[in-house]
Amino acid sequence: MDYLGSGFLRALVLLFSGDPETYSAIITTLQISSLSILASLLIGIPGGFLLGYFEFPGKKQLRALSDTLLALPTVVVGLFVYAFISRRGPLGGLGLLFTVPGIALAQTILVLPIVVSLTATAVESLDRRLRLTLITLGANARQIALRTILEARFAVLTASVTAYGRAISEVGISMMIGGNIKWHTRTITTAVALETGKGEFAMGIALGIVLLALALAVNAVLVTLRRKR
Amino acid sequence: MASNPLYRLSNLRFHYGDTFTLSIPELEIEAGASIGLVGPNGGGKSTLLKILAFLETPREGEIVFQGKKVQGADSSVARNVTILLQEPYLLQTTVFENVAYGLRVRGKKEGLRNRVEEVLHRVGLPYEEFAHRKWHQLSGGEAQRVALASRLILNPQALLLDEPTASVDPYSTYLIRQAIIDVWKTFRTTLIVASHDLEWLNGAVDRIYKVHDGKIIGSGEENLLPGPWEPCSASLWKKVLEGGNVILAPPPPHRESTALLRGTEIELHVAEWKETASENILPGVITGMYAEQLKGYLNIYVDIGGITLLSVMTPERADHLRVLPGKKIWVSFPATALRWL
Repeated sequence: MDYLGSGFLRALVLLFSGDPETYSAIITTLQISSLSILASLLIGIPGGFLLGYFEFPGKKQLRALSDTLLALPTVVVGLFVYAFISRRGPLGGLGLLFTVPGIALAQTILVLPIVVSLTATAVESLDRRLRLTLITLGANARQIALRTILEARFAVLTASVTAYGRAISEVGISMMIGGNIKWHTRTITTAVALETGKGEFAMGIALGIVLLALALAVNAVLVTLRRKR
Repeated sequence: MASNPLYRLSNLRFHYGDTFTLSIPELEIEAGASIGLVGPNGGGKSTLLKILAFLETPREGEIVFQGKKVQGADSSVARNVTILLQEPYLLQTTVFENVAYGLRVRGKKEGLRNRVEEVLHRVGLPYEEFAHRKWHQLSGGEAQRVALASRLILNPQALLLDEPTASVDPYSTYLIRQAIIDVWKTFRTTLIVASHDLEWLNGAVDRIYKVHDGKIIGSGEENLLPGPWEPCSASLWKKVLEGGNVILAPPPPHRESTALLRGTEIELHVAEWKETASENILPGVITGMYAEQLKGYLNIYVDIGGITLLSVMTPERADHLRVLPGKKIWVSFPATALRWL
């Protein structure tokens, strides 16, 4: 078990010496996850609100679809997006394959159902008196929608954090769409997979620590915001 | 006909499921009136208030508000009226933001702090102590008063309240009454309050309507005596009270029918009164007295065994009888004074 201990020590050296290869993977991961979470929140929060707030034909089916997609396997998304953005695919001309925006696009598809489903659930489970109260205070339709999302803010925040956790920890999409290209599309998770395969534990452990720290930081933000309510 | 009606309802019918119908052939409410609605749960008080607040649209009939016919959910009209629903909901934010919300959505941000402070004061909540509390840091009565303050700040033409004192502490009950009397007197806000608490309501509003089984059946001085009724003799039926005394009545249409008894037809006596043609002579205890502000009559409430009867009399008669809360007294009324609904 000595290699684990020495691997851990070398991991700390990599992190504190600012090893460029390690930090390249970290920065790429942050870029991709920021892009994908931003896109999925921009689409998912209004989408989830519409799904949870309004009654319309086909709502149940749409809801079931969104809930099913919560368990979407990353390799299926990878395969699907690969087929679309590869040179022979309908979006091949955009040149997204093996790029950071390409991975972000596929990750958005992966985490969008999380944001949509959890936001819809949050809006549905709001107190039924809220809408009537807002009407009696004179709010118009836009003001009612805005206040409804605000009332559901803690649940929506939880949805965002869950989605972010899924985005930074997935490996299938980053591998298939990004191709694990060093200095370019190599992310924390693909780097850990590769380095572990080569028996190089130091960088794997270093990146693993960063990944855990990221998860911890995101959770700490959530806890702080909840306490401040 | 009121000279200056705020509301005029005609031939109004509202259906709720298959069983409940609210039916109002004609109702006028003057601007600046102060009206109470009493009656049993499920009788139609809340539905009537929601219709007056334009939250519900009746299937048939016409509502004229300020001389203008209202069709469907008309938000320009609805903003002149506000309703405090039973078990109000507070937004998940501070007391200040809750109270200020209605003005914010109207784009009125000038002097907001002063106006919030003023209405919080009206409901007995000191600004410094309460303005920055969160919605979950309030007792039930405080939350109810915050909800009331967030309606008062709108300075509406009509303020509608649905059971504002259900499940709040006695101090809040008192403060809520003071606050609504205060705004009615100061701003001549039309006040319409539904409550099952007739005594509280009598001290809060000027005129009372009884709402029973989807109909407005009188102007408040009526007592409602619900069934069951049992046959007693060939021409009389009885309702057994707690303690064994009975109320005698003419034969009802059904065992469960409700009888109406006008408060002016109930006489009070200091001793058991034998020389009367009235079939009903019952002992009771005076539980409350209120002066009717408009007509100058006294409303005397007498508990006769699980049922409180309202007797209406002149102050002179009350003075003669020396009525006082807690005093034992006899009530009498003829069986024929009971009319079936």
